[in-house]
Parts: sequence; structure tokens; C-alpha cells
Amino acid sequence: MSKHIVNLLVLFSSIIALAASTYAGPKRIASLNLCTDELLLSLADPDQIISLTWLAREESLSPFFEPARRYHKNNGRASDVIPLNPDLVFLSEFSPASTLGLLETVGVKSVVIPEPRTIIQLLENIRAMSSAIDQVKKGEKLMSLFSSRLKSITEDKNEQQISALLLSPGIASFGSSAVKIEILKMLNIRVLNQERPSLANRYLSVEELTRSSPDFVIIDKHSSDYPSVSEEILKHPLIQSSLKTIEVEAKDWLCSTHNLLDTIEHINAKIGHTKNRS
Amino acid sequence: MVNTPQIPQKRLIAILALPCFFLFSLASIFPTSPSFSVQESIQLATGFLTQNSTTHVGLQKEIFLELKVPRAILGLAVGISLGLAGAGLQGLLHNPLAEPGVMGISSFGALGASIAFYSGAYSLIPLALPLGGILGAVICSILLIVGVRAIPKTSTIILLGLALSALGGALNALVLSLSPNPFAALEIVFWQMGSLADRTMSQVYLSVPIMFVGWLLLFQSAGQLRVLGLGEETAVSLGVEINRLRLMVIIGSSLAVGAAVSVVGVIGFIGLIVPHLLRPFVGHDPSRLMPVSALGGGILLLLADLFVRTLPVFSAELKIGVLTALIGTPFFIYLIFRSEISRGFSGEDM
Repeated sequence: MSKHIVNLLVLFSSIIALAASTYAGPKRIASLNLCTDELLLSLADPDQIISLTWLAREESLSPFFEPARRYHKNNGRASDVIPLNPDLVFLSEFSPASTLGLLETVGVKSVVIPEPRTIIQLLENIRAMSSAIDQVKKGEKLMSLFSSRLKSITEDKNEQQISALLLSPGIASFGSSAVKIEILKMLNIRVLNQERPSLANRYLSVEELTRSSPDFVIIDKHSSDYPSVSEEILKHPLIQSSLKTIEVEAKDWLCSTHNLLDTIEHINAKIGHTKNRS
Repeated sequence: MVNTPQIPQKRLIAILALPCFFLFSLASIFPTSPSFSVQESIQLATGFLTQNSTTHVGLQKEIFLELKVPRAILGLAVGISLGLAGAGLQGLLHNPLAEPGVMGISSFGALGASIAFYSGAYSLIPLALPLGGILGAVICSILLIVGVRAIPKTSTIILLGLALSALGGALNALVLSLSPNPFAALEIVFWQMGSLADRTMSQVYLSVPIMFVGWLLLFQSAGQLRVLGLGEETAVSLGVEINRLRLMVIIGSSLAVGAAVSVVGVIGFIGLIVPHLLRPFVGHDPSRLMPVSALGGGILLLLADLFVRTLPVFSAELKIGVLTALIGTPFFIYLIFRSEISRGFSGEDM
């Protein structure tokens, strides 16, 4: 009986070893952009990854700084990863053309992941990356999880329309991705950065900000222990006394990936909490 | 050259006080951003005065108290500090080109303040910010005085000042580059180009009393600076304690300028332009020049501030230091040429 069990174990291990040896997916993957780093860490097996950007290791910029520190760091340049002999490199649409050109010249396969402008494009990015790294099932699971979570969050949308202004330190109104805005709209939140051109993509003064009278100001907080004039200005007494602010960790929704939903959920909960209190 | 004052000092002070008060009032009610059109600005300003605005009256009041009043007070106080320190330094160094910005005092003040800010000292003790600014300004002033005593030539003093100014700016950029916050690179512009935008009453409480002490010291030294104008030996024979006088001007300018730059950054050339514009009216006597330069500095800075608040450029407000540098640099070059021409290109300093 025990001999049979041993034989069966040997047979199973041989099948597993054979499957592993015939696995055709890429095994040495590098990413040259913070947002492709984030997606790659969610989709790839840990031993498939060989290099991520230095930004992914920064606690103030990346929610995945700890796992990212296990890998070789690059500065977003092709020359940083070519010596590692990668079989697949991910870039963003904002990566320099020369980076893509160099990878093509040396014959390294590369995939450009575009910045998603819609939720559909965000899902397409997950599909494209999971297919490129031969993790289709993981990709499908992630997409399904994202869609069901989005549905559940938007079911709890605000009954009355609420206005919000998305700001970064220094009272900067740029950098609000279209996907963020699309999801917030699904929650019945009007994003003034998009609605009013005078408030979009620029540095605002405290007076402009207070006179724009949004119901909420959503501020990107940078988890840095070091002070900055840009963050100090957000503590202006006029902002504190006349506006309702919601702070979110900038790194948690810097990239338009499936991870956005954590922050969106936090914002919606804060709005609900504030409304209930008032 | 005989410099006969054309207008009695008291009358000139009265003449300058009027626009100063008018501009201060305007700065206290005018919108603080160029994004409002002229029509909107007038509506908002008159709406506030008549309490007849579409905006909530409570918000109007808060904007007035928390935003416009501190900005107007700082505009006036910083202008007074720069104008007064400029006139005082010109009297002490016998140099018409001396000015806190050109001589590096402002840059070193900003360096001291930014070290206090980015090291976190300001978060623990807010007073560390103006103290850092003052310490930086004192260090630069001492270096200048040492330089002046070693080589008392006009061109050497100016070159030394320019070198210190560049060094202060570079060290400030270094401090910010080493600071691990992600906005440091952007903030170099604030410290080097200055801004009165979005200041608070806390910054007024923190800096204006210190500036005031600096003004008192400078005003107190004005009479002795007048005697110093006759030459060091004469001044000593008339009972002027030169070292004490130097110390008073250095400490006075450092308190005024250091506290000013610690809350608004470096705003250059006010201390250069104002005494030159007013000298034809009151003459070279520092005791006559300094009070009117103080008022003139306040007027010029309030005027410059109102200009940047209404000039619709780019997507944000123009930094006030950019405007003063655009006006001040050609003026500075003109003064250098004029001083060389008056010396007949003698090659004195070559």
C-alpha cells in the first residue's frame, strides 16, 4: 500500500515538473513605470518579476513599497534592465520613445500599457497585461472582483448631487485622472476640476478655492514626515474654517488601476459620515 | 556734490503716507487672485464694502480677515523693512548699490528660514522660522562687514555681495534638494522669488513684531549714520562709536529683513530702488532718507502686490519677486553705469 502511495507521489511530481518545464509564459519580467509596477505586482507570480522602478520602493509613492523592495530597481530606462536579460518589459504610454526603441533594437519584447481614460480601458489594461504574462485566470478574477466591488460601491451612491474639488498640496488642481472622475460621477459626485475650466489644471489661490464653494475638497496627502510649504498652505485657517476636507493618501490613487476603489470607498464613507453628522 | 532737499521731510512723509494708506486699504479689499476679471474684482470689492454681494457675507468677512488683511499688513511691513534696510546699509557702507537683496542678506535670511522650516524646527517651535531667517541675515551681514573692512572698494563690496547672494541661493536650493518631501523642487521658486499670496495672521504675529524691533534699531542709528557720512575719523571725533553703530545697523537690518524673508521669501531690489528714487527729494542724509525710504518701500511693495494680484498671467499668480527683479535689474545696471561714468572710467577698482 505504501509502495503505491510513493509511486503515485513520484508520478504527480513528474507531471508537475513536466508542466513547469513546458510553461511558455515569460519568466523574467521588468516594468519601467510606477503604474505598470502596481499592475504587475497584482497579476504576476512573485518569481516572474525581475525588476521594478525605484518609485515602487518609495513608501510615500507606492502602496506596494514592501514587496517592491524584493526586486532589482530601475530608473525607468531600458539600459537599466537590458543587462538583466528580461523576456518581457512593460512601459507606459508616457515612457520615452527612445526607451521603446532601444528595447526593440536589442530584441527584448515590450508591451506598452496605456493610461486608461475610462473604466473599460482600465479593465482592458488588466486583460492585456494578464494575457502578456500568461496569467489570464488571475486577470479574469481581478476584473470580476473589480466589477463586483464597483457595483457594490456605486449602489451606495449619494441621493443628492454633491460637488467636490480634487486637490494636491500647493492647492494644485491638476492630475485628476478621467477614471477617478468617472467613478466619482457614478457616486453622484460632481468633480469641479472637470466641470469648471477656471478651476482645472492649475495652482489655485486660497480665495479662489473658498469662493468656488465645493461641498467637499478631496486632498491628496503625502505620507511624508517632512514639512513642505505646499502642504502647509492647505492648513490655512480660511480653508480649515470654510471648507469640508477629506484627506486621501496620494499613493493609493496615483495610478488608475483596480486599487482606486479602496480610496473611492473611503471618500464615499467620509461623505456619508459627514452628512450624517451634519 | 551738494544735495539740497527740495521738499521738507515732514511734508514728504505726509505726501507719502497718503498713497501708502490708500494702497494699504486697496490691498485689504481687493481680490487676491488674478483669476478674477477686473469687473468681478470691482464687484467683489464694492460688494464687500456695501455688504451687497452674491457671496455669503460671513465668507466675505472671513476672506477679508484671514486673507486680505494679513497680506496687506505683510506687504506694508516687508516693504518698510526692505526700504529702510536698503537706506541704512547704503549709509553704513557708503555705497549706493548696497541693498539686502543684492548684498545677499535676503538670500542668507531665506536660507536660515528654509533650514528652520525643512528641518522640522518650525513645526516644533514656530518662532524658529523668523529666528532662522535672522541668523542667516546676521551671518551674511558679518561676512559683508569683514569684507568691507578688508578691501573697502565699491566694486569689491558689490562683487562680494553678489557672490554671497549666489551662495545663499545655491545653499538654499541644496537644502531643498536634500529635503525628502516631493514638493521641494517647486518650493525653491517660493524662497527665491518671494510671494505675499495666501499668508496668514499667524505669520503676521510671528514676523511683524520682530521687524518692528529692527525698524527701531535702524531709526535709532539714522542720526549717527548722518555723522558717519562725514567720514569715519570725523565721526569718531564727534563721538560716534563706529563698532556700536555697525552692530546696530547689522542687527536692525537682519531683524527686519530676516523676519520678512522668513514669511514671504526673497523679494529683491526694493531697498535699492526706493532710496534712489527719494534721494533727489530729501538729499543724501540718512536721517532724512530713512523714514521716507521706509514709507516708499511700503508703497512700492503694495503697488507691486496689487499689480501681481490683477495681472492675468499664466495659470497662477506671478511671483512678486519676479516683478521686482524685472524692474530692479535694469535699474541696478543703470546705477552701475552712472557710477562708472561719474568716475570717468578711471579704472579705480581694476
